[in-house]
Amino acid sequence: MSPSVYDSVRNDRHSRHRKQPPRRWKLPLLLAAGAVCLCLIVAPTLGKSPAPGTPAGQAAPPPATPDFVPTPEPTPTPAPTPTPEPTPTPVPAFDFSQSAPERETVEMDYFADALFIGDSRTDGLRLYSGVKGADFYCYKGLTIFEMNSRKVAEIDGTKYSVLDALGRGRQYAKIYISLGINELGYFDDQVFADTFAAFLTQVKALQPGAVIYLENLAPVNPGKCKANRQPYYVNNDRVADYNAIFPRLAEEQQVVLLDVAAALSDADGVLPAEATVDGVHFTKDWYKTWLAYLMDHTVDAEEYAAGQTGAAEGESGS
Amino acid sequence: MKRVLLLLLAGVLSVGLAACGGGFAGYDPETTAQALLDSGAFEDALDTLDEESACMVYGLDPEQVEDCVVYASITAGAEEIAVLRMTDEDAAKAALEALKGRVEDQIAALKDYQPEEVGKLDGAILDRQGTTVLLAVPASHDLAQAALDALR
Repeated sequence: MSPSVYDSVRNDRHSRHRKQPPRRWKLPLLLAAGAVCLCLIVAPTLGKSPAPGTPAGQAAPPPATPDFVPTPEPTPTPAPTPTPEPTPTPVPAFDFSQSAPERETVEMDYFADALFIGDSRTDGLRLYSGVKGADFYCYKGLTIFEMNSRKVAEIDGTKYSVLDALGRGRQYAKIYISLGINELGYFDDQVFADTFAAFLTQVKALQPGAVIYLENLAPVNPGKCKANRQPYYVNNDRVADYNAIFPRLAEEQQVVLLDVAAALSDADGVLPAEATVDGVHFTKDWYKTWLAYLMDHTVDAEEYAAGQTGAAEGESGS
Repeated sequence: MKRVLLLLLAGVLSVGLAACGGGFAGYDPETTAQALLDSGAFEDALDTLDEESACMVYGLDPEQVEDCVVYASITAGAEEIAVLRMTDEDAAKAALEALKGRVEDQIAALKDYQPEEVGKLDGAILDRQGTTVLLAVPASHDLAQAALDALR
């Protein structure tokens, strides 16, 4: 066959192929298009319904291959760094084994929510020190043994015992207790201590918001006591006996000890002669000294509360 | 002339009657308290109470107290001096009752604490003159009363 004839035939075939494909090429194309359409229709339904026979409530096994291209998660925006909250400064717990430390002097209005419980010495404080605003449950000769019996506290014209009044009257923020000088002749220190402890427990229960101050005993002046024929038991040995009890009471009952004895005695540990007329009660200046000590020795209510652990121990049944 | 002499005589008599006691205007707090202190009627050591403390002790309304001088025992005893000038007579009457109550309270307090002091309270001097009120609890009733009489 000559090239011309061959070329002619080949060109003829090529031209026919381009212009009209042979019938055997159409069928696969149609099948492929159909398969693609079928896939497009069927694929979205895969994995959406449980497989036949799957028990209700039981998830069908996940498809072997993901049936969709997951939308790419947005790049997380970096969260702003939170401003650290200021750490609260823990309130230091008051150490009840120590007497109240000297602090900045309070103003007189500090006593507007204060109550004083005591005997004739406290009555002298009321009359002569210049203290203002406080309430007083005090009485000549009052003892720790009469807190539930002797009616010395007046509320709305009616007189009550100290404990009755504490339960009926207002709630105080500070309660000062000064008792013991009239009990010097009661020679059972354990009963004195136990009675005092029980009283402090009751005061704390009746006045839960109050800082309780327990004042130890200022000494007496032996010379003036003798000259004024005070009873023999009114002496500084007996005062020392009780002043050994008060720190233990303060620590055990978690109340604030006020070392009034140190504030109102001289270098020899006695009440100075110029501070008293009868050896026991104070002069006006000495009552002012007493008040000044109280105004210089206070305990923050939060520190007092932070130091209270007795309630928890009590609840645990110990 | 006779008429003029009669008028002069009447005037002199009036002044004389006033001077004999009809004109006592009441107890001046400062003068009266000092006269009592100077009388020798008191044995105990006394010191002054300010007006606010005095009102607290006696249960008085400070608004009704014009002036006062008060001394009380600094040994928790019974002796006491209180001279009050009140705003009006009603307030003075109420103050007198309050002072009587103070005496009763002191008797109740001292009968166990300092029983020897109760006798002083039994001889307490209580008086009202117009708008002024007086309480004196001396060791010597007679000396105190003489000092008060001298003020009239």
